Amino acid sequence: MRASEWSRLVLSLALTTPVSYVAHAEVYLNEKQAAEILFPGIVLNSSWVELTAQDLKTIEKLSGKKWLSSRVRVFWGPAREALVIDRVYGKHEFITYAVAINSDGKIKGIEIMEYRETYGSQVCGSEWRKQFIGKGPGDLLKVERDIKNISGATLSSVHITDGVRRVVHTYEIIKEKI
Amino acid sequence: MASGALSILMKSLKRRFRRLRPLLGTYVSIDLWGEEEGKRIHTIMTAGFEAMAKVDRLMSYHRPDSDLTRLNRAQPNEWIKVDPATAFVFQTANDMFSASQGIFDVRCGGALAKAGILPKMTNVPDNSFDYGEAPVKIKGRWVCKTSTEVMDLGGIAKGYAVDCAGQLMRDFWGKKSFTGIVNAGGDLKSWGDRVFLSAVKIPIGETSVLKSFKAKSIAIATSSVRVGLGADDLTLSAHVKMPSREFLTDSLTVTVFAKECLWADALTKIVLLASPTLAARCLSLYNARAVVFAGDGRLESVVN
Repeated sequence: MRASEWSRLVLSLALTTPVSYVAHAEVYLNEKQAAEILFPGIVLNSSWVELTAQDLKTIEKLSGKKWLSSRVRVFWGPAREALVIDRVYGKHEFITYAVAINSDGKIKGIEIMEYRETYGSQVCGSEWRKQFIGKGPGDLLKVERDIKNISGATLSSVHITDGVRRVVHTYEIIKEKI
Repeated sequence: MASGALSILMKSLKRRFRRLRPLLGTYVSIDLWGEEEGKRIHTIMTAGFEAMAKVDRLMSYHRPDSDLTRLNRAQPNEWIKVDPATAFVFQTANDMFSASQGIFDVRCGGALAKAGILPKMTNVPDNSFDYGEAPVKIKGRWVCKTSTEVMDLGGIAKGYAVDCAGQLMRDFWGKKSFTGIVNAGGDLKSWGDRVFLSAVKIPIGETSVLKSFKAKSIAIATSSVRVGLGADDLTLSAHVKMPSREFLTDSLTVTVFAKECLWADALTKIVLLASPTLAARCLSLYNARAVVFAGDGRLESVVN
């Protein structure tokens, strides 16, 4: 990068008003796209699997994590391989993701389908709102929509790790049901 | 004139493909703009994610069979054969150690475990401390550690993983011009001719603000240190041993712009911890620049 480009970059950083926002939501893949990426060329059948009270208890005991609903979205392949759709709620984020599981119960891959990050109430306070006086709501929304690449301190993915463990144990129980 | 207009039109016709996976203990996104069919783009993106997963397998502190764990469990001066990628990252870590006069030191596993950031590693030799020489010796693919202290590559390997994914995806395409961005939380790398809107996230207390900017073909890394939220917050993101804690009495966010992401990643820690003169010298060695934000989101300084 040339010196003039450096100074332009740094200047633009220095002059930018701090931008705060309440939520950043992004849809990456729908169910069909996730299935095509994780099980390319395989036809999957969609289903909802009902977990019994006993199933829920067993899964929580084995994985240490509860299901929030007793209905689980599952796409089955011909050899009982499965694509399970799940959601987790972190401290500041809400994530919908797909886990592909081979017929031997091993994880084939994970794709995030939707990621929504929210921020604390301070960003909504009057001091923060003052920064946007004179701007229409469209200006703020544009920033929310446009900024997709954020360099910040690393977010931990521990919540999804817990969620995936729950899915793996769930697979062992539901594969007997089809 | 007409061809210029056509080229602008073609650029605008490129589709953006975007995916996110949990990897390297965080969320990693890949963006590619391409004219090719989606299936091929997704194959390339999957290969990019797999390149990062390989770095994780080789250099993770948490995996019992990684090169790093094998080295941590070995005796000092016992030579261990590692993947060329691991040897390369250790060589860069040694270079950063020398450039920063020992401030960037991958022998921070013990300190991070003590602070509760990493689990304590078992089956490692008893500790005897010597920070005099570089953390490891390297001969080709063979590496040996020079002390018994537990090492962690968390302050540099994520940047390297981002570089690997970027390089692999560029090579896949050959000479054809296209734009891509890999973003692993704090570490981001972009290539190609597209100027993209990005932002640095600056934590302020329990919340954060974004500082937006535009850039193209660059590596960016950000590290934040938050003071005052809890006993161990000082060490939360710095990821290196801190011989100079007195510099960190306030919350700080450091963003480094460089050519390679592994340099940017390691340099954020040096800028956080070193004196301004030493930080400037290290940045200059890697033709990098740093922007420092204070705890209230204010731009504090631009180094180099």
